[in-house]
Amino acid sequence: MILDIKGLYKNYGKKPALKDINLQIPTGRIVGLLGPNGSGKTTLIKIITGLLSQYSGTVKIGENIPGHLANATISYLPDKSHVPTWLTVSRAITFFQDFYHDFNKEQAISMLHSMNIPLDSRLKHLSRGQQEKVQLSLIMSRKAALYVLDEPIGAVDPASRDFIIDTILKNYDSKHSSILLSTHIISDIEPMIDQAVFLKEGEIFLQGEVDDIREEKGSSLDELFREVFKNVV
Amino acid sequence: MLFKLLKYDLMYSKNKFLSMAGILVAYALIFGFSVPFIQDLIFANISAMVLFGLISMVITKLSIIFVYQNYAKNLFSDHGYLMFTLPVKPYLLLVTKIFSALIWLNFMTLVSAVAFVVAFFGQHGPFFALSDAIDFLLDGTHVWLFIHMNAIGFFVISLFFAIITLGHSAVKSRVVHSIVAVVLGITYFILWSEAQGWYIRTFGWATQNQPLTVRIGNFDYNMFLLGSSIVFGLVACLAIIKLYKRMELR
Repeated sequence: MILDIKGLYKNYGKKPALKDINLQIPTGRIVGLLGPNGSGKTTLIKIITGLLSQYSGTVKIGENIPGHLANATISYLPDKSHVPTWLTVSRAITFFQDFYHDFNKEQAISMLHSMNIPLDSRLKHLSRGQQEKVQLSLIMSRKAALYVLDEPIGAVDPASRDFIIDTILKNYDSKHSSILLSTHIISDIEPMIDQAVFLKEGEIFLQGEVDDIREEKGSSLDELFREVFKNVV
Repeated sequence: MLFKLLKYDLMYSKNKFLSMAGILVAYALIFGFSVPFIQDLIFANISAMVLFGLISMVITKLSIIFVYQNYAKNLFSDHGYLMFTLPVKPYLLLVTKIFSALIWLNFMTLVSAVAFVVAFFGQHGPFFALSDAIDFLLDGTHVWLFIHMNAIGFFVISLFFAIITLGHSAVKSRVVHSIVAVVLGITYFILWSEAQGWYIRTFGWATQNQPLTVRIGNFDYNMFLLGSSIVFGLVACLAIIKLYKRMELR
């Protein structure tokens, strides 16, 4: 099991953010973490990546709890520009190569070439869309056990969404890895995910195989999402 | 991993500190080379020293701002999402920041000292003065001063980082939290200075009469004054690491 979460609770002060989360992800799965803004998706992801440390319950990434050992096996794309923008693109590649043993420099360069992104440009001189593509290329050029992608298509135009989804699928090795992908835009990612986890107000409202959910509910995930969250979104 | 972290940290801050050093060096050289052409040297020296003092004050303040930015922006802004998810032990992030700040502290002190000597003590021109400055810095007494400056620097930087970390560790009421952090920091600084003051009041200034004094070559090194700064700094570092482990990057 790449990710094993049992009885996870998280509060912000007195306000509960996550309640009794149980989630297991084996190898070779693409899991969609679905829910509207404020449903707890980012909180859950931050716990997995070790950015939030105050919680109860157990979280295991492979054999490790969240922290520096687990970080060697997680490739994390946050919903923010986390790569320092004073770096040039080529220096950002060297940075990832220096710190991640599973980083494939040639793959990153090849992806960036295919996007026509100049390697000698500073990130701050690129457009926001280009910066996001650079970040995604760096993240997907790792051979990680678990890719954790927080809203990778949340702030981009529809054409870029297709490109991002294509990049994720092309570079993901289903024999050794899994993907946990959070989003509130279901229609674009529905064809690619194997398993769906619906989060509502910090609780797992529904989870299962995508095909089973469709058959059981008689609707697509997108339709189901709109129905469940029609008063929330 | 420490050297890799340090490499990127120095790379990030180098332009700012090198620019400031460049201003000091340019000022020293311009004044140093102008000396033979100045009629009223006493007035010129006083004016130049006042200006040098002002430049040094501005550079000191900018250095503090840059060290703050380098620490807070790199760890507690969006970049923290990268730094705290690197496969490195969190204490290495702190060690990197302290080393980086100490490197710049030493660099700027060295440049300031050399610039001062070159500008105001050039008997036979600025380049001869540079040689005098290097001899001055390599004198054994000044090596001791250098070690002591780094110990105090380590304490002050660690305390500074502890205050920033405590301020950023607040989940809510960040302003109140920051004020509490500053008050705690000042209290801790007073404790450190009281420990040093107590020692000097009790045993006097003469190094050779003080306990915990070690003689190396021709010089007496006081281990209490040195050690207390390091111990106080280490305690501040332990507090920071404890805060890192409870950190909530939101």
